Order: sequence, then structure tokens, then C-alpha cells
Amino acid sequence: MFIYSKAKRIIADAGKIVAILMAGIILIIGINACKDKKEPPAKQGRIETKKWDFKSENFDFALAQAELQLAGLKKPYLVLDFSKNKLILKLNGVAVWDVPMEITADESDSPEDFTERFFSDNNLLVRPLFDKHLFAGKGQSSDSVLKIISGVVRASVELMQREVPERFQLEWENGLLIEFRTEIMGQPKSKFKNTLVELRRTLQRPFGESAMVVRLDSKHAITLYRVAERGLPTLIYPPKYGGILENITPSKEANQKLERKASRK
Amino acid sequence: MKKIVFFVVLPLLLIIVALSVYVLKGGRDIDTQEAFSVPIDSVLHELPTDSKLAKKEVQKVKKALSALKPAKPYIVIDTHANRIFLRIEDSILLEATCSAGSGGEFIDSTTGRKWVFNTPRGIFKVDSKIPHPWWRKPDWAFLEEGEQIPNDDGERLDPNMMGDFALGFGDGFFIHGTIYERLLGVSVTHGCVRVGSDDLEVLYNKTPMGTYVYIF
Repeated sequence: MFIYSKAKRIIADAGKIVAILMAGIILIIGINACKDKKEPPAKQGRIETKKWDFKSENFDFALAQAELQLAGLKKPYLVLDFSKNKLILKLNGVAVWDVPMEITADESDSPEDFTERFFSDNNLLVRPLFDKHLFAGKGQSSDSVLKIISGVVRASVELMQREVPERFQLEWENGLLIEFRTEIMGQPKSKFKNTLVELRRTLQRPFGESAMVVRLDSKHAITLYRVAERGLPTLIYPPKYGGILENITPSKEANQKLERKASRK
Repeated sequence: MKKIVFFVVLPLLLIIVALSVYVLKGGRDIDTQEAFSVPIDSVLHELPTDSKLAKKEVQKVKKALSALKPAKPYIVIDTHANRIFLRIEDSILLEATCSAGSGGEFIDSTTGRKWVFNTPRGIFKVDSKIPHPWWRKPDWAFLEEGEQIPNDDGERLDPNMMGDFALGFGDGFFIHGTIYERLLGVSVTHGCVRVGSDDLEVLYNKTPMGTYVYIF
């Protein structure tokens, strides 16, 4: 009789624990659901406040003005040029770095889908980079060599070392994500953080995402990974874009100014 | 039962909540001060309906954008990958390995003076071209070696350190040669940009005064 009542109590306690845990999980799912009401699903009907026609003159005009604003920052910004399949870093409106964007089609959403999601929600023409995560990589130079150099030039190994990424992700708000993969074999940076990032992505995916996988040469990946600080302004030239920004040639005036200055010296 | 709740259930719940916050927030909050975004209402996104006015507006933007682009080749220095380029908008005329600033610091223990050895980033112009340059050693060059700063300016001059050519881009910073070519590709300089002798010669001959230098 005593054993029976004890067993009954244990079962009741276990039930309470399960109930509390379930309540916690339901609460979290609830928070998730509320949060993602603002982010419409990627492939279901989107609710946009502004629906752009990417071939319209108005869009072209707005994009050109946005780029002018970016140029005024005198800081690098990233252009995802889907019309020419290029990744471009620009400074003051001038290309300082560009590489072909080799999108892995079978693992990626279409550039059209990515572009639409980029320009929907919050009516942004330029989005700041929200996050980056390095899954795996390796040092460009061996630490022992750098240690010797460090002794000679009195600079720390950490400052001189360059991480060559094997795989990293750049993320913008509204479920926009690009994963870059290179040809090198590196070491995972943090297995725990990698798992957390994967988990986060898995949980967010059902609520809307546009993701692409891009292959990149490792020497180019070093630059992109290092420049891609949080907040890096990002702009998109949509697929089949043929607007103002693709047809800008250097002005004769600028050239003449440059020559006048040079001759004065 | 209370013990189980306190030691098992509560920590479990805390872990779940922390994970959930991480999942929702993406790890960290974005610094809105540093982030730059362009909302559509900050630009004149609608063209005037009058076609003449619309054309005028488009021309204005086009002109402003084209004025930014150098008509002649420009130098680009990628301090992240230690590469230097001579390029025009869509093509690269020269690509070479270079060495940019180490980012290290040096503090003079007696005076407290501090130097940070960064290559400046931004937009510059070639403002001097010097064949067979001599290095005028700054104070830190002596202090780093534990030497006295000389009173005689002549003792500061070193004819061997800067290679065959130097291209100045302002504030005492130069693109120049080096006797340590084996270190090219590593960020080891005190702020100047070192280039190998062959590439430096090509760069020197192809860049007139006033050439734009973009450093990022």
C-alpha cells in the first residue's frame, strides 16, 4: 500500500515537471510566433508596404539616389549585382573590389526571390549587414613564422594573421542569408557556436527566409569576410537590371579637374 | 520535489529562454549608430510626372554619380588581403602583393607619446612622386630601437629603406619599395604601403600626379 502511494506521488511529481517544461516550450513557441508575425513567410503570400517594379524608372531613380547617399559616406559598401552576377565593394561610388558571384543553384533560392525579400518589409533600399558567422577557416600564415616576424617588426601575431575562411555566412534582417564557401579545408572555429547558429537558422526557416550559397575563391573570401563588419551597407542591383547605375561613365569634367590639379603641381 | 524544481526545472527553463532570446535576436543587437540603411522616404523615389522634369531629375543623378568615377586608372589598396591594384572601373591593369600597416601600437615610456601603425583608409590622391627616395626616420624609428632621437636632421636620413620609387598620398604616407620583399603579403609596416620592386616600377610609371588612391 505504501509502495503504491509513493509510486503515485512520484508519477504526479513527474507530471508536474513535464507540465512546467511544456509550459516553457509553449511560451517560447508563442514568443517566436508573435515575433515572426512581422516577417511574412518567404514563399507564401508576402504583405509588402511597397511593391517595387524593378524595371520601372521610379525604382531605378530611387536606387541611384540611394547609391549617391552611400557614396557620400566615404566608407565601403557592398553591392550584390545580380544583373551581372558580381559581388562588388565600392568606396565613394567607385568599384574597389569585385568578384564573380557563383551561386550554387541547387542549394539556393533564386536571386529574384532574394531581391524581392530584400526590398520588401520596412521599405528599405539599402540594408545594413546584420550578422556574420565564420564556421570554419584557417590562418593564412603559420603562427610560428609570424612569431619570428613579430619579433622583428614588433607587431602582434594576432594583428598580422589573416583568417582564410572555408565557410562563412552573412545575414541581413528579414531572413536574408548568403553562405560563402571556398576551396580550402579549415578547422571549425567553435563547434558549440556553429551548432547554435545552425539551430537558430533551422528555427527561423519556417517563418521565412531567402538563402543562397555562393562559391568564392579563398583569396577573395579573406577580403569579403574582413570587410563584412556588422552594419556594412548593402545594396542590390536586381536581376536583369539595366538602369542608371549600369550605365554610368566617368564624367569628362572630373577628368579635366584631375588633369588641371596635376598640371598645377 | 522543491529541490527538483530548483536544481533541474529552473535551470532548464533558463537555458531554454536564453536559447530562445539568442535565436530571436541573432546573438547581438545591431548598433544602429553604425548601421546605415536608406529608407525609401529619405530619397525622392517618385519621378515627376512631367516628362521633361523627370528627364532633368534623372540627368542630375546621373551627373552626380558619374562625377564620382575617375576617368583615368586609379590605385586600390586592399589592406585586408594586402593586395594593391591599378584599375579602371571594370578591369584590373595591375595586381600585386603589398604590405600595409600592422595596426600595432608603440608608446614611448618616458614621454607617454603613442603611435598606432595603421594605413589610413579612405580616398586620397598621389601628391608626390619621388625616384630614389631617402627615408627620413621619424622619432618612433629611434625609440623602437632604444636609441636617442638625434638633434642633427642628417642622422635621420636612410637611403636604402624605401626602394627605387615612392608615391606619396599625403600626411607622410607613401607607397614605396622595400628591402624585406619576403615579408610582402603580411601586415608589417608602420602605415606606409610596401610593394615589390618590379611592380612598384610599373605602378610608378603608370600613375601620374593626382591619381586617385582608394584604401579600404
